[in-house]
Amino acid sequence: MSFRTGLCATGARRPARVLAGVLAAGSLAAIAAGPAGIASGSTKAGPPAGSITVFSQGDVNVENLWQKVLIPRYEKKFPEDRINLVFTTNSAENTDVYDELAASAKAGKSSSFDLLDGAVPAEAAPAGLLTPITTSEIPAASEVDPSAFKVVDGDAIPLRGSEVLLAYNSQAVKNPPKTLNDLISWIHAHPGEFSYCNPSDGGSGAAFVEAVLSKYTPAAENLKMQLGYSPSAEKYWAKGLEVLKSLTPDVFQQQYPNSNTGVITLLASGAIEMGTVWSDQGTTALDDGELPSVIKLTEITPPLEGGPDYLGVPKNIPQAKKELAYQFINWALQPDQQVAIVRAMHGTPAIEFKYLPAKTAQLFADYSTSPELPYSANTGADMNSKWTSVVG
Amino acid sequence: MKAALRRGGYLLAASPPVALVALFIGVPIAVTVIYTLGHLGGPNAAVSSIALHQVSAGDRLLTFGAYREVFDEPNFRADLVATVWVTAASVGIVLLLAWTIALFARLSGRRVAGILTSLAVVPLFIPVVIGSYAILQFWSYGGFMKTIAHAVGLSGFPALGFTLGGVVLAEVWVSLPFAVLMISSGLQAVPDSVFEAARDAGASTLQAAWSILLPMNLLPTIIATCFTGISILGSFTVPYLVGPTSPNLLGPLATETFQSFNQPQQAEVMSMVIFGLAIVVALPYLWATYRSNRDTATS
Repeated sequence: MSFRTGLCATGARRPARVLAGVLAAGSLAAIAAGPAGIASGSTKAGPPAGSITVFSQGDVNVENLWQKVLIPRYEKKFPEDRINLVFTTNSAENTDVYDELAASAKAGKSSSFDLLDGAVPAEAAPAGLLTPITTSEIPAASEVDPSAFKVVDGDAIPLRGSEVLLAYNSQAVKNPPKTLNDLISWIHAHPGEFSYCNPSDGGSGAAFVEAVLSKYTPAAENLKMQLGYSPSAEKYWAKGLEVLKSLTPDVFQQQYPNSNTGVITLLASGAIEMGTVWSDQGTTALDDGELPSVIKLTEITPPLEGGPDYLGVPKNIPQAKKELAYQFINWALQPDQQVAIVRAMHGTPAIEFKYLPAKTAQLFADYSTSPELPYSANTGADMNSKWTSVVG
Repeated sequence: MKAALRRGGYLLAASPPVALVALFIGVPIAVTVIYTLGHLGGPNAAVSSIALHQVSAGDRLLTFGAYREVFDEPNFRADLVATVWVTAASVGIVLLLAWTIALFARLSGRRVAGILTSLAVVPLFIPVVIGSYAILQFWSYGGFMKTIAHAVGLSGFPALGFTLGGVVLAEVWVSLPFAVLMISSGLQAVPDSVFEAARDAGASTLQAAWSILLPMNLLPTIIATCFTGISILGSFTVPYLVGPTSPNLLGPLATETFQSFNQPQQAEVMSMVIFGLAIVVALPYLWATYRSNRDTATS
């Protein structure tokens, strides 16, 4: 198992390891079990009441989303209910939680977590550790783009989204590239003015690498690598890797920054005129003034990868807890909450744009409704390895 | 009888730490070694159930397939070469600086020498991450040094950020305090009388330093060399932050292989290589401690 936490501002596409997490898993589980253990299932009819324990991992902006937006609003709407949040900024702890989930399922015990957010659901879904999502339990699921369920076999549901965009200095670049081909020619024509981060260290770099590799890969084969692991399809990468290698002399300092933030820093200091950034991270940086307002974000054709951040409900928890989790998910997918999430995260909504209020939907007029799917965890690991070997 | 009892007592007193080391360091190393040799079951079952591109020994006793695979990768070989030369260069510069500072402090004994020694120890109190990042910013393309040089007309001044030269600089910064402390305290321990006797016999200061201070301070120097070398060989933070994308040191490559490529077996092969290099670097230290223990025992 490996995790790709590409969809939040941390964005490091960094598969975590199982072994290192085994010892720490116990302590995390103990923290989680404390408050959750008190709650009992609801017996009365009507909306269930009680508490659920949520695990989430991401950067501080994700923590703020839970602590300042989702939890207060939810507890106001459902005064009887409580959400116990277990949050960490350390992506390695995804492994601990995954271990807890897998171990408790194997032992036939209830998991300590009732709802999972972040990178865990996308990994737990194919392993059969999550409850399938149905519209009878979560009616709002019908408003989500159906393609979002493919990668997770319908066992997890998007909460919010993000995609990788092209950021450029509008003072220096009057006509930004519109397509991937244009972008590649632009990089060659403007040596030292473009940068993307090492794909091992950040999803914004991985998105660019994937886009170039996909360009030379038959669509059907590429889809196989996005939905699962298909080593035989990786032979089509050879041409794309050569193209990426040919870009090295023309990227800034012939080096690749080791984080998503590294590219933002280069854009901010004026060292480069163009780079790939996460939509949410870029917009937040623009709002905070970390990036000057001359930096603009734009989408190219075909769009770079992006996608949802998933919520998942563990299979091995009591039915009453599941119902509470469903209630939360259904609530979080309502347009009101989606607008609040979009505002807080500067990301994209989980539900299709047409279900949003017109004013909010307008914000996404330039966004593709279907960004490129990210490669699966193992395909991503091989991509990183090949990139380092050939390009890096 | 009494002596035997006492020896037994020593053994008993030493056994808990020995057991601890064996359990928490020895066992994981043994597990790692058999994993790199193709044994994917037993204690390695959990890691091998999720790893990519593993080499299995199958029914054979062992296979060097994983080692062959790693050594066949040009990227790894380039990083191995970089690791060796960066370590050698850093250790050389650290020794030169530490000896210069220590010698100056020992011979002049002035206040400025004391201040210099104290300054050299400052990096000890600055976390490696902060120090590395500061060096990167200071020496990067748009950093302080390049800007100053540019202002005075030196446009060709190198930007050491994201180069192996920058890694050497940062490794020296991190390693200098220990070497200075080790070598200067060793020099302070050499009695004045010995040194002055040499001077009285007509030796110049440099001659006296070379033939009296150096031999009498050999053990601290060897200790400083070995420990600095070992810590640079296995370093991660400095090369990860300051170094180039490639070639870089083996520490970042092994970590990347483990985390981002999901190839723990290959990563562990790389750590075995670092381990092997560290043993080579540790040999002079083992020899020196053996010598000094023997001398103490016989004197």
